[in-house]
Amino acid sequence: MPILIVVTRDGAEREIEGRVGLSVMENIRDQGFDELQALCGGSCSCATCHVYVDPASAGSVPPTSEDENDLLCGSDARNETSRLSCQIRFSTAMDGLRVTIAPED
Amino acid sequence: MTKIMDFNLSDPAFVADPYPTYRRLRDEAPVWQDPDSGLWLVTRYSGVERATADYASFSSAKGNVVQDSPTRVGKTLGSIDPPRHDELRRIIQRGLGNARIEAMLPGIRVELADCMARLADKRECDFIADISQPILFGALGRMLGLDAAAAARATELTKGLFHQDDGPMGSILQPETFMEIARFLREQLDNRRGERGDDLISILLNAKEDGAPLSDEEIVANVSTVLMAGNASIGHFLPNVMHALWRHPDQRRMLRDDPARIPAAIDEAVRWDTSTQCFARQVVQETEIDGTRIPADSRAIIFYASANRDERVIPDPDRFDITRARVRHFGFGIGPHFCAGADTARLMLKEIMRELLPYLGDYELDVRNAKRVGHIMVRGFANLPISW
Repeated sequence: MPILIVVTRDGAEREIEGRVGLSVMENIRDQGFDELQALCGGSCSCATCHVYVDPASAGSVPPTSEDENDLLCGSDARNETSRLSCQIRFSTAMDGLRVTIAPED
Repeated sequence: MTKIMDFNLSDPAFVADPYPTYRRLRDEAPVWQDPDSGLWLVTRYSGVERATADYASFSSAKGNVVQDSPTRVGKTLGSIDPPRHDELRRIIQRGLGNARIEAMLPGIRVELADCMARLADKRECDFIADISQPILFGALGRMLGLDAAAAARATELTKGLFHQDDGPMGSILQPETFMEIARFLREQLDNRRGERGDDLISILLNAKEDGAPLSDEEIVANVSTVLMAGNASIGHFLPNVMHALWRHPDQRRMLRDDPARIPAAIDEAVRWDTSTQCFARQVVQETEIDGTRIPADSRAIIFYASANRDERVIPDPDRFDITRARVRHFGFGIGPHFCAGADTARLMLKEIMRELLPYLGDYELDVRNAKRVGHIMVRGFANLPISW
């Protein structure tokens, strides 16, 4: 299985086996990371699954949509690597993807 | 169970402080049928989480308030289920975009400064009528592109919202007022056909003309939700934050010393004293939840405000603490129907609080002369005397 690397807010890094076809948010949530609230359940409606994607591993990640971009606009913690993890469908091409859970607003 | 049966939803003590009753319900009957109304009350965190996620059993298709209006059911985001909900949500959410709300914030600052200048000599007023409503309704009017006369009309039409004429679990607005709101917004929609602005109605009309699957009735119904949510949710949310801070002077001081804590204070306030206490769902198939079977064709009331105080999940939940480690709560709902205006509310409140708190200093609230809204869906004040 391809690997997804998750960095929590305290800087701890953990490798998990990513399930292909699920979103990055679902992969993180299902592995018990309770820092990621994902309140809307993955419908690109709440911005509580905000992560930073490590640029070195971001090559295969699809671009940000207009709707996602607009939700991210409301976050003070946004930077150029910000994504909503519910909008990234994990694939084998993303093996080694490294994401950091963003601070809460 | 028998002890629970004697509690009365109309009891003034319940309206003043519903939280002890919620606790009893959570402990003794987390899924309880009110014998008078027949409604099923779901009060534990686990039950609320499950009911809001399981829309196949807990449908919104008959409306999301206790008794909904035919002008809205099946047309608003809150009264349809996925997949149509998700399709419509994408269209409407674009109209509520954060970038547009950010652009409105300077106007809110000016309006707030004017408002406080008018009150500068008096230094006392009704926080609801003199500060909260003018600021929030002004912002809402700009969002919807209403001129002064139309904004005044909108305010008037929503005045009766969450009346208690039909009891604390009755209709939220008189049927004829629902119709009047629909007529008023239809007029606004027709006005926009000729001349567009950057308001929500214009944006939805543009989306429709660009091919988005959206009817005029859906535009009117969903804008009516924004109008009512502006009044009922954020309209009570701001006074509730002010009340929570007044009740906890140490927290207020901490916030004044460090305004960077304002977002955390807003998040804690919407958990601790949730302005929209509950929403309704239609149980479309027999379902077991928290150990109780609810029969098909029942009406269930999902109490977010009770789940937000559930000690099974949230440590020391009755304590208002702006330094609390963030908890996953339902102050803005959860799941597919997560509040579409959550970011709008947060952005506006953050701006208002940042400007307002320095003006008001160690303000006093006269809660003995305040009046609470008595409808079960809402936690808030009809009036709230303040001095500073």
